[in-house]
Amino acid sequence: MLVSRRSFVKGAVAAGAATLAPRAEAHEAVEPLPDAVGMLYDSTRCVGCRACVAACKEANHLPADPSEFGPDHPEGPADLSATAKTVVQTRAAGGSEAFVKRQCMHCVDPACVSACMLGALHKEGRGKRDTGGEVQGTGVVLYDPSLCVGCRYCQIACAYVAPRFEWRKAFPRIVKCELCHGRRGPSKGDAYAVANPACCEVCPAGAVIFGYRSALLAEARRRQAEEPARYAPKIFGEVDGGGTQVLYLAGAGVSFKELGFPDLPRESYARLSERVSHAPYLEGLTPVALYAAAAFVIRRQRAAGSHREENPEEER
Amino acid sequence: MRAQAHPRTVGGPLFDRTVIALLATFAVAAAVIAYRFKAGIGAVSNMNDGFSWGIWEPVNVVVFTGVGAGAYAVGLLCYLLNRGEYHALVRPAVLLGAIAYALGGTSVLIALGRYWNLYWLVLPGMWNLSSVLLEVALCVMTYVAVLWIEILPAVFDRAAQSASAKRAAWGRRWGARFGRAMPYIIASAMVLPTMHQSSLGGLLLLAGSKVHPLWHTPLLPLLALVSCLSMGFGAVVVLTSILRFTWSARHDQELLARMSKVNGGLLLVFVALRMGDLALHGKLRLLLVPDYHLALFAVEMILFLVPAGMFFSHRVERKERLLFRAALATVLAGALWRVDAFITCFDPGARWHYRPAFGEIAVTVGMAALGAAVFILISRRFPVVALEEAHLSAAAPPAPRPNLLRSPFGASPGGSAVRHGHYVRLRHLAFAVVHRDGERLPDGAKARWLRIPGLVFFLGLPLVGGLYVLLLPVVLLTTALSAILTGLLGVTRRAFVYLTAVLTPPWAPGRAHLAGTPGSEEEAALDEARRDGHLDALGEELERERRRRLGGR
Repeated sequence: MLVSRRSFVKGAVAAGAATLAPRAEAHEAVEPLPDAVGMLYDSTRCVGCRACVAACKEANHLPADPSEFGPDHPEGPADLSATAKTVVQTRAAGGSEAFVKRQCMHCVDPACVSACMLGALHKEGRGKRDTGGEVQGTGVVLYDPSLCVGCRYCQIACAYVAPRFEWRKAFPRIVKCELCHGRRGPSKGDAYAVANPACCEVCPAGAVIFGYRSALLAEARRRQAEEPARYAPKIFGEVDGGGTQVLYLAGAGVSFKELGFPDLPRESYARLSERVSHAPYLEGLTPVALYAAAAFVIRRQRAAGSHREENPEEER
Repeated sequence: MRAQAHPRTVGGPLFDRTVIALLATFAVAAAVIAYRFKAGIGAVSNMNDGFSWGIWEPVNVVVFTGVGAGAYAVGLLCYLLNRGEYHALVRPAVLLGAIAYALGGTSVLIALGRYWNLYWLVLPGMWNLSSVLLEVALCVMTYVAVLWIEILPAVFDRAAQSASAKRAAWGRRWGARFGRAMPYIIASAMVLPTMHQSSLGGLLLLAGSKVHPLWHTPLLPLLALVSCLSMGFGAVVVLTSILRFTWSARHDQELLARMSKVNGGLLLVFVALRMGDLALHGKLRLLLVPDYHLALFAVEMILFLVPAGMFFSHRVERKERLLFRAALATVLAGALWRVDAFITCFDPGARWHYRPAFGEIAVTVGMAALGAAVFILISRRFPVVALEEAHLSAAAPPAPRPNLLRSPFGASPGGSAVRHGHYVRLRHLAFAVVHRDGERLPDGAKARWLRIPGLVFFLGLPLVGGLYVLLLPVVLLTTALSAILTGLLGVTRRAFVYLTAVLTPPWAPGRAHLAGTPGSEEEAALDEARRDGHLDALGEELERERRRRLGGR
């Protein structure tokens, strides 16, 4: 989603006009967008073949580091990195081992989007800019390198440490899963018109599937209801940290902590942060009022002070 | 503004030994910075995706600007609360602030990965108003400019004192014009720090799952604001003391002590807010978990409470050296709180480790050195520091300089007559109590006795003792246990892996395997069947999925 400069500047001007109008955007609890797309990963179905990891590298033109990927390294890369937007980890869980696929969770209310100064990381359909060619309302967290200053606040903010940084490059970028937004096919219809993750396409076991978040959530619930003995009762991402668009099912007896997920409250940290930091500003009124009051007080005291300066004995 | 309080140029050679040493330190940093722009941030630092800010952001920005908040703190007192007597402190504080903030801003530029995109920041349309960092960036950028504008009167003053009549007239004219605009500039210098200093604390609100709960609270912005004021007051006292002992700057002990009482109040407010917040959020039980978080918390609390107590003591009020130390402690307290929240008590996950690399430390230290050098150079040529009248006549002998950094324990040889108090001989761990002034210490002249300051003795010992009792058994036990256990586990695991590898040749350790390893033949057969069933189910699933997708298109 490289944006042409022209549409970009147009967007900038429009948004600039929008900021002049008072923004009554109190940050309410964010609900998932109706057309939100995502993935459902079922840890009990994953066979650990890492076909998704290879497909992801191919689809995103990421180099395959021979030291971490190839026939001699069936485990593939151990963790997300600037050259791996998704990995499958083997973790000790529930008294045995379990696979877990990692990638950006595409949060319902993402901390990285709240953090990003210029909106380089933005949620499709939720940003205030209309970036050319983006289908609205999918909620995919997209990255626009032309707006990124490389401050890495997104990495500090992300509870899953999903965004990765090209540490060894003079002109680095942030690397993270964008749900193969670039592979979308408008003619394909359905959710495939907005994104088409390569990992879901190649998974031989159906362990990771792509679709609308609402459908995936229903599917996850159906699987749990059908085989309650097979699954842990929780669906990670349903409400965690305000919810995510990538949902996770784990095997019975496996806790998501063991799979490496953080323990998150229901309220997203983005909401907490914006609630706490915005509140004292009163829509920008406080700084103006403070400035006016300070200028008034200082000016008056200056005037009084210059009287005193003429006969300094009075002072102190 | 009394006549003798008016700032003067310090004069003297520009590049003396101190300045050259400071600039040489910065040269190392400059080399590291140059290499960073060529080879990337990872080439000079140990920063990683978990600790993506390393020490540059937390120290160079958050701590430096905390020190630079002296301009804000003194400005609040002097201008808003109309305490004109603090005016002599304003110019050095503003210069310190301008330098600290400029260095913080420069450090950001170095730390930014894609700095060339920074120009978008000037377009309001591009702003993401939810971003706390945006608020910090814009405010800090504006405030750096405001601070340097606040320095301008020094430049006009200097021109007004110039020998050339034309320049002097220019300086006087513009100085007067500028004086009329000053209230509006100062007002913004009061508002901007209020905004960004609180936001600097607010940066971590987003990282709620990573920051230890003893540090993460919705009060972070308020705590950061209170603590930056206290750091600022502390930094001004430290700076004034250093200026006095190096350039015999004018130094009003009574004034500094009075200002420090405000600081003491702020320190107490900080502690009260923090403890109240812990109690309110039911986090007090965390104070019973003996780990390094608690140890750091305890050290912070000591650093906050001890200077607060000292500022209200009559002895400290009179003693320059004690006041200096207490002020230094407040700066350290604020710095430690910031570093803890951003680095030491920041935990992005078990697999992330971070220790600053030489390059990072070199840049941080080099930046601080550059700041000191710039301060010296500017005060030598521009009227910033208010000097004692005595200093201005060349014949006057330099004022006596108490050694600020001498050990607070003050060593004295055995047998000498000393002040009353508690003494310790570290080599032999011997203690002695001297009851009256002038009594002699025991042991021969070779023995070195250290005096334990009363306050440290009474406050520190119970605390240290308590911590010792609380932590030591736990630390010892866990270290011993974990050492034994990891050793045992490692040996057993390795033996087990080798043994299985030998006994079951087809099973390769480390390969992806479906579910466990077959034990006996019976179990293997059973497992085989189970797996077949599983595969059948998978096949069905795949077919279903494929049909669904094909139908979907």
